[in-house]
Amino acid sequence: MAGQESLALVVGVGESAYCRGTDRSEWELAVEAVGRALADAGLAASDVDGLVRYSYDEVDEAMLVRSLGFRLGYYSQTGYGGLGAPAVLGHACAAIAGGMARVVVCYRSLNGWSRTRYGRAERTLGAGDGGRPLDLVASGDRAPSGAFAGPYGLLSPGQVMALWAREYQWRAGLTDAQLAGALGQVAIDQRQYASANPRAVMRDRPLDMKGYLAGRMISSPLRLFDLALESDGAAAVVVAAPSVAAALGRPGVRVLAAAQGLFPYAESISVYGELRNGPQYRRIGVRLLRSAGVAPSDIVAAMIYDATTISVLLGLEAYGFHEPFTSWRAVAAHGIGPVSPLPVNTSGGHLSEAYVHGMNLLTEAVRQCRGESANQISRTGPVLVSSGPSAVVLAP
Amino acid sequence: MTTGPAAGRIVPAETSLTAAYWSAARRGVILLQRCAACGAVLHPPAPVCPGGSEHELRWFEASGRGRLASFTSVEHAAHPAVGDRLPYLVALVDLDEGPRFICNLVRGISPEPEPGARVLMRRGPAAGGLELPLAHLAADLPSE
Repeated sequence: MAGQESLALVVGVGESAYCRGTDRSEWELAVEAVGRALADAGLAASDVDGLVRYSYDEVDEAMLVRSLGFRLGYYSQTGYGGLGAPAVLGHACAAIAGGMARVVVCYRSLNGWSRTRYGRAERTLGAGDGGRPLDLVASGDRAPSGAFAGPYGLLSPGQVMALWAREYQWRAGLTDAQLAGALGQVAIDQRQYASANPRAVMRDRPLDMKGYLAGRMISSPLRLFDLALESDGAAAVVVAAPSVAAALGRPGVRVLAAAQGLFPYAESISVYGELRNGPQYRRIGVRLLRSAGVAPSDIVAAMIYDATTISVLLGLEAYGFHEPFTSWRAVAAHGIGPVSPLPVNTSGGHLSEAYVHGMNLLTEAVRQCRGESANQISRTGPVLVSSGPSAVVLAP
Repeated sequence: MTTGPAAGRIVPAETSLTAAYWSAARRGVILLQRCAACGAVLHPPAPVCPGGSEHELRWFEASGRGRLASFTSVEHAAHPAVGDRLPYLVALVDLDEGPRFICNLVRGISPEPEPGARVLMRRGPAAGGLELPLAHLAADLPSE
């Protein structure tokens, strides 16, 4: 979309505290995160005329409009859950470039510990209607928990990603130990990032390979520390037109390109199509980077949606940093830490900072571009944020 | 028919699109859709062939043969309904007819499944409590 001259800039980020256990509602947390993002930008609620949210969010547009007094000229939603993270920025930029808004707020609020547990199936299995009273009904054809998966006990995203991980292992020709060595390194390096990040839920819980391997098997080959946290929290970003951004106190972060891909069976957490490092995913990556005018080697850090560790390997391959079924070797050897060839998920990500459905990857990418990350990398340049076939490239 | 755990069975929502599928599945038969015009084979069921509006989808019985694309041993229950089934195996099968298929993998005498292992479908108790097509490693079944 925008090329090197950004049509919109990210001018503010904010979040609530991240925790496991809260009596504060998602509504309250959303208001707090948005308020902090606006304060960070140096803008007032009265400046906001656009709003983009995840379709999954329980805090709807009207609730924020009422609480913050926004007068909107534009609002929209991105489909699915974590897939929405990078895509909200694309919506915001498109609205601004199209003249429909000048200041757009994007947010995600999720009490994933206290309310909606994404590791569990209570949220997706419904009550019976006409069968036995205790029957649980699996609806739709998505995995997990859909009609073709739920009756077989394939119920959580982590279980589906365990299937991805085993398929990756087999197609890469890896032993159990080789797979665990690569996945474990992802978990360990992200935990190390979290230890320096005061926002991270797991900031004081160091992890080494022995600890990783001792984590109980949840759904083989994925262990406890391969899986994202369940946590409570909200995060938000503010996107502004260049004329608005130019009047603010500091430079905005440019949005070089955005892509929101969808093709058959690429909806979130499917098993019926190609593995998420396949040709169609890679084409999205090529298209995104070409649109941004950068090569994979130009990217200085990547925030890759990490519902599980295997998603990081698949993302590294989908966006052209490694050939399919080869990233495991580089990750096992060099890791994804601050001195690795490509630092990934430098806040600790969903594995160790918090699970805010990718919005916290977006805020970290903005901080890296501003030079304000708790784990600031030394190179300056474009930062990728991806979730499956949706992604953006940001740059200072 | 197994009675299922006290927490209840996990049953599919049946629609006009999928009623025939489930009727067969409860007998242990996998129905797939094939397009009479272009030969495309679909699963899960869809209302139209993606190849074109004049295409016509027809049900046919799958051979019940395939290869193991992946599997997982579920060691942690994501819902109380499967709490007393742990650990159970979920297979991702590449059916010989093309589509991918999810089902349980029945534990047999074979050691850890090999990549691409041959599987055969037989009716049996699924983790959610229904009798449905399940995968067996071919090596675990008497030769036919």
